[in-house]
Amino acid sequence: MIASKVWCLAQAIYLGILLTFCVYYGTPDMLLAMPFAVFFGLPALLLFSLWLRVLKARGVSGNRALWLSLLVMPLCTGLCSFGLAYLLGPACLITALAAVAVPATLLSVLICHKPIHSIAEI
Amino acid sequence: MIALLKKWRCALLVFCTHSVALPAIRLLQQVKKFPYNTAQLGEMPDSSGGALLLQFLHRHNLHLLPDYESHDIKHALLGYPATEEGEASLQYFFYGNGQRSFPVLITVLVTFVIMPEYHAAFRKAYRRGLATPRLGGVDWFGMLPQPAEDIRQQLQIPPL
Repeated sequence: MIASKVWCLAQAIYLGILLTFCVYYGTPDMLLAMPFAVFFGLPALLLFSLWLRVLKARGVSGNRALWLSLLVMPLCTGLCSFGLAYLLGPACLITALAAVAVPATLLSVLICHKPIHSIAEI
Repeated sequence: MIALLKKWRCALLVFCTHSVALPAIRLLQQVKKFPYNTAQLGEMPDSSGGALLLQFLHRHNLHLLPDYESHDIKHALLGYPATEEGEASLQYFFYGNGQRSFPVLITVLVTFVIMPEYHAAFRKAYRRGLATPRLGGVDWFGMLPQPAEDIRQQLQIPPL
């Protein structure tokens, strides 16, 4: 419970800082990149949960899965961001990277501390 | 027009659930093997959780769906039917109960947007979930031979 509250607070502060930065120092392109980045980030998160399950199924230990995930997740989101930069222009790159990779990496840490089966319970 | 929209919505939800979500969840879910078959459930006393599950399946013309037995047990014990409203209400109940899994969050979000006529029912289910002590980690399968009413009392589930 505390972890989720801290996560929400951190996310709100992070988005606030990012938005303030974009409004005062950014270009319209950078603002445009944010919703795109989030849109691309969600499927990446779903793929990430699948990846974690595969790791667990193969008997990879929790800590190792965590470090592997921390490596893979920013790589995936980084690739998405480069795709965005290609589509929308190089000015979006930093915003896109920040808007996707940072929350996704933080979330990956959070998810790794929860049992995998509880993530998919219906 | 409204009836047609509801028909499309139902078809969309069935597709998203059965063709997209359930296969994906099956990959992610750590499944515990269901220890009973239909015949064994039928041998349980009439008032038991197992009999209640069987009645639920018969009432909705369903059969035991491998890996989703615990989901159907939750339906039967909590009293939510296998309808659009019932399925969504069940997820709202668990959202209120503190279970924040991906399927629960996505269902709550999507049904809130596309099923506005059931908002009152969703609010009721959410509050019922809030009023129930956490159900995470409950051994649903092990409880089935017990009387359904005893299970509800044991888990302190408020009436509908």
